[in-house]
Amino acid sequence: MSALLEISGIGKSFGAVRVLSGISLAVSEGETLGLIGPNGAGKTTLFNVVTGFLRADAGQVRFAGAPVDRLPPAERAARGLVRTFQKAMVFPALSLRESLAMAARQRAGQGLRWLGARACHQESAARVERLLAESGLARHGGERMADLSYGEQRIADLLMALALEPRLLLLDEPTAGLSQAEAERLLGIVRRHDARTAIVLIAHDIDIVFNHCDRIAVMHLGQLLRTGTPQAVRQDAAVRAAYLGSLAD
Amino acid sequence: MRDIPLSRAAPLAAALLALALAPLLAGAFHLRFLAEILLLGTAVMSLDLLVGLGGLVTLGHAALFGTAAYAAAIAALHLGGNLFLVLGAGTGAALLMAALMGVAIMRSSHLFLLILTLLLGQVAWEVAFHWREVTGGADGLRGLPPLSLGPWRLDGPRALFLLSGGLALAAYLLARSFADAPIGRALVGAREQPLRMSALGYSIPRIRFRAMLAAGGIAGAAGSLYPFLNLYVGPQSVHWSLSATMIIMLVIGGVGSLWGAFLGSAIYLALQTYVSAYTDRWQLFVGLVFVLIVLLLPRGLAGGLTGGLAGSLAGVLSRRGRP
Amino acid sequence: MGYAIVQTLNALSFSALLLLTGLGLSVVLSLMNFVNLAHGGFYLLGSYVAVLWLGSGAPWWLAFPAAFLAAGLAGAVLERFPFRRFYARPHLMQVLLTYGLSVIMADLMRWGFGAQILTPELPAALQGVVFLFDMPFPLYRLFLIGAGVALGLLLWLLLDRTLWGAVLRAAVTDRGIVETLGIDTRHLFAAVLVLSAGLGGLSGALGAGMLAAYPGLDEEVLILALVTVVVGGLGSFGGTVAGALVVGFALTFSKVWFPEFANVVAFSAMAGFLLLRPNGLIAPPLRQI
Repeated sequence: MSALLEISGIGKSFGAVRVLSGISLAVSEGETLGLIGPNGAGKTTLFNVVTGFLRADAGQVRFAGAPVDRLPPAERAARGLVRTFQKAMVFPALSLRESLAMAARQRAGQGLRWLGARACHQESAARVERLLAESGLARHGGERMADLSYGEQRIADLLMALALEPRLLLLDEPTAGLSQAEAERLLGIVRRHDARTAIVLIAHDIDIVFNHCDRIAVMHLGQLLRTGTPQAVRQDAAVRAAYLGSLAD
Repeated sequence: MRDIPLSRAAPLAAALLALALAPLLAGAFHLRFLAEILLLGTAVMSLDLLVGLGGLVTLGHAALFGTAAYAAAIAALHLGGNLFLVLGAGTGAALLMAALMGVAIMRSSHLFLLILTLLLGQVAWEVAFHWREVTGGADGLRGLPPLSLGPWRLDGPRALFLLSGGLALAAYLLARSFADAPIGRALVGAREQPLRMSALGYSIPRIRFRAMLAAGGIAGAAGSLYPFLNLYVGPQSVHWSLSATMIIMLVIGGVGSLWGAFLGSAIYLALQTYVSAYTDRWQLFVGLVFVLIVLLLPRGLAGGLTGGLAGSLAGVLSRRGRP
Repeated sequence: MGYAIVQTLNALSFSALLLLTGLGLSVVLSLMNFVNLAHGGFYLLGSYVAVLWLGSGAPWWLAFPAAFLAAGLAGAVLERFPFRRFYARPHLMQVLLTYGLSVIMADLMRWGFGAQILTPELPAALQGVVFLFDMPFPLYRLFLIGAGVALGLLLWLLLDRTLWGAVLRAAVTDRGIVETLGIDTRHLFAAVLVLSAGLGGLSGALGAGMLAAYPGLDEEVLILALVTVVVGGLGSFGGTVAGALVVGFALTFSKVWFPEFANVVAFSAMAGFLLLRPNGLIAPPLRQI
């Protein structure tokens, strides 16, 4: 089976600071990959490069068999390479329902329609209501995003990404600042929505990563230290030294 | 479906009433004056699509309006004043200009966009001012044939007023539908969270380009009729100072409300016409009004009115609800 | 040869004027993130003060400090109200406020100084021409180039090489920290605005000998200064210098080569440049995420 996402030899520097060097990584369909590493390891920068928000200095990104290096972020998202951001990025003045509809219309290829607006709105409404029901946020549908709690905003942010029916979902610390229960709930929503979606998950909570991921990649100082099953990574000496060891002490 | 909120239905009904009553009550001078308010207001409203929905401030809107005015006037001089010909020529030219401005709006924002659109607009002005054989240079074009529709001549103040009113109404409904359609929502999203919108798969440049085309088309339709109010078009209709004036009108009326554009254009033109009759200092007056509105009513008169109205209504209802 | 040199000097003298005007704008923009469209008003005020001063028989060289003080005073008044309230507001609101004020200033000046074109009586020391490769060149323009270079250098030293400049730059980066050191940043920002307004007035005084003074000049100068700052990339000192040179040379040489359509060519060139480099010549590196 060929990989859904193939990253090879990615390098990136900001001025004199080398943030990523020679990163190669593959993600298969339906897989959940945990991406861990201390602060400053380059995890978010890697996300930015993969999704097109930053241009890499070297290397290649292939998605679903085709190179995507020259595509702008929107084009990559439209192909199913979807991300969320470290901070919940919601539309403060729009309601939850409107925000989800924004994503659903884009997925249906109607995001920029002018004529036939009513049909578009009706079509997206069905998807939106399904997402709201799945997430248990249905009763907040009419509220402005700015009025939702932080945990709800994180879920709303995730729902917007899910509304795009992604093939690969890159989640950048979706559980940061959430309680254990809220974090489990959020990840449960992702899995229940569509089990075929591949996921790359950045999280600082080691338990969450080891419990939910099929494989784990460890980054340190811009390099990929180790990739393997949770079992193998847990026992790796280099990983322990760089990262886990300091936590285990 | 949802109810149409009061803040939308009321002005629409009032506008229809005014359109019906004005020709019966107002004299020739005032009808022409009202027609001018309506046409400029339509152009200002199209600017509101960019500024109010998209947060995209351009200083080149007069170039869209004025290009349409020249194209319509030139078409009329050569081919006669058929209404549809004139509208088509003007709107088409404005759409071409908007496509050019659209390239600018795709690529830049903030001050860069302001200056880029200003430069493009001034290029259009220079062409209008210097290309004497076609545009009449500084003198502009005079002696246009009156507008006509089949056997009817549309050159009386009443016909011009009704024509402008019909255009303004159609343009308002069009702009409203744009704002409510997916594209309008996307424009708002691109203003509020551009990064999130890209991550959702929306191409920000494409959204902006379409908004510019829509605004250009509407401004162009208004611009096409503008020369026929006085059977004259001059280079000041392309000049950037008209773009700045449109922004002043928009801010006075209220950014983001669409109908506020007509209010702003009415207030500005009334100040210009009536205050200048008493004093040379009418620009001082306009400047003061404008600055006061920026300081005290950042959402303009429309925002102030609906805010005040909605506020007092809410107050009344909540008082009633209490035991 | 001589002709080319004279045109180059023409372009340089215009660039010097653009640099001084543009620096006034870019100083408040880069240091305080404040867009001041009333800057053209300060310029024109300086021009009028200089024209009146030079016609009054007082020592001519005092015309420049007088213009600086007059515009600086106007800046100080406007700084207290309403500029100060708008430093933290979005650019759009600043643009609207200061444009409205510029309309008011323009009409007040039309009221006070009349609507005719006023040209200054230049002192004997600055009149006349010098011959360069047998081509006559106005002495005043050489003076303008010298003044532009000297004042630009002075400003750069002030902002980049003095403690005051360092405190200022620190205040821009983190206002809170600077305030915990016991420095009142309000005074600091007020001082920058007065400096910028004074600089505008001084440019107006210098420019009067080349462009005269008349209603509407404020807008023309404002636009050229804005284009200068924007082409330069908004804010950096080097960017404004580069922008002034680009705009000065583009406008001068398009007049030489395309006399009829000079502005069309120059504006199109600048617009084309901004389309290709939407962030200007020297853009400060910004990370979006």
